[in-house]
Amino acid sequence: MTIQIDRYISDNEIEAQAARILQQYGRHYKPIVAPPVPIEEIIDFAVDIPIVRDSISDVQGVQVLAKLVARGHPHPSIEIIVNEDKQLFFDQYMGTEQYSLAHELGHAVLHIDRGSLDTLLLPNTREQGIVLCRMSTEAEHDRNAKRRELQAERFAACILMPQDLLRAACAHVDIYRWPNLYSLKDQFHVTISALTNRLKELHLVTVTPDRKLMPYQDQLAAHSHSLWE
Amino acid sequence: MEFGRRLRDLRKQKNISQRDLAAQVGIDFTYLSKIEGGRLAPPSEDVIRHIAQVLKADEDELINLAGKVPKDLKAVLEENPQAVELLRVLSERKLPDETYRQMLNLARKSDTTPTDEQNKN
Repeated sequence: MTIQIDRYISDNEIEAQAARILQQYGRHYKPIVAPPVPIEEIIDFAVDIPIVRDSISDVQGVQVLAKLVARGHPHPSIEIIVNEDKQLFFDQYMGTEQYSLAHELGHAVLHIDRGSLDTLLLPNTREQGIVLCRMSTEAEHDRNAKRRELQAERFAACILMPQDLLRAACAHVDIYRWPNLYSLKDQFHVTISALTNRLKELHLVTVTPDRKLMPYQDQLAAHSHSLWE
Repeated sequence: MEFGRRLRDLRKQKNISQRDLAAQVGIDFTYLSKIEGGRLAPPSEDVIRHIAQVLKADEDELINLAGKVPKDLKAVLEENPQAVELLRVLSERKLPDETYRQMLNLARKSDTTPTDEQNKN
């Protein structure tokens, strides 16, 4: 029996799921009124998923920063494992650890049916578990896996850069200047690429091919001719 | 209940993050995460006591869950082979609570500190 959910999930639904968790944390623990979003505490307290720092081996030559596993017998539970061998990398590149955690949380929220965890047949040991939502090499699964990854990425962006906090922060600075964006990404504890992607998705900026920041322009609207006057 | 799981429950009840608890106790947060996750055995008795103090939890409960014998009891057992024998007999039998109560009362009644003995003499 699978506990994995493979389906189309709209961007709005992903945004709503992230907002729901942020509200849940705010209601029961501490309202989040300014960045950064405390993703570790949200996972630990509001969503109740243990975070364990452990060594993770490369998979087919690819480095793994974090993973989601189900562990325990006869009642499995899910855990997020963060690769402790990458701590230096996490410390060096601000935002990478937070993004990895938020990404795995995205899988847990969007792709795992936690109510059916008991149907998993796991080894009778605490040491072994199974990795959930791992990329597969099989063609059909690969398509689903890629979709899951994109959904988890979007979830990570939504929860680490909630619209209200991001729009409020953008209102006070000139977001068409790179130094200001670098300052913003430090405030939100995200990477510069995560921030610019989020700003583009929210139609707050456009990045030109020569890396200039411009106000958002709807290319389709600009080049289309209305059929009606 | 496992030590790690209980520790995580207690920490969450006090709204203390893994990093904060580790910093207050003076251990690495990655080490604490492994203990909570059941990847590593419980820490030393001193660390457990320190954790319990920070969390305002029952030190003995955590030490028992960790499968450790508190230092003061260990000293008694080392000095008194009969105490070890008594524990062994108790572990082999399933005694009702009432029997334990009677034994405790008996032990308390016959409790004679060195000062009492000297006073009698």
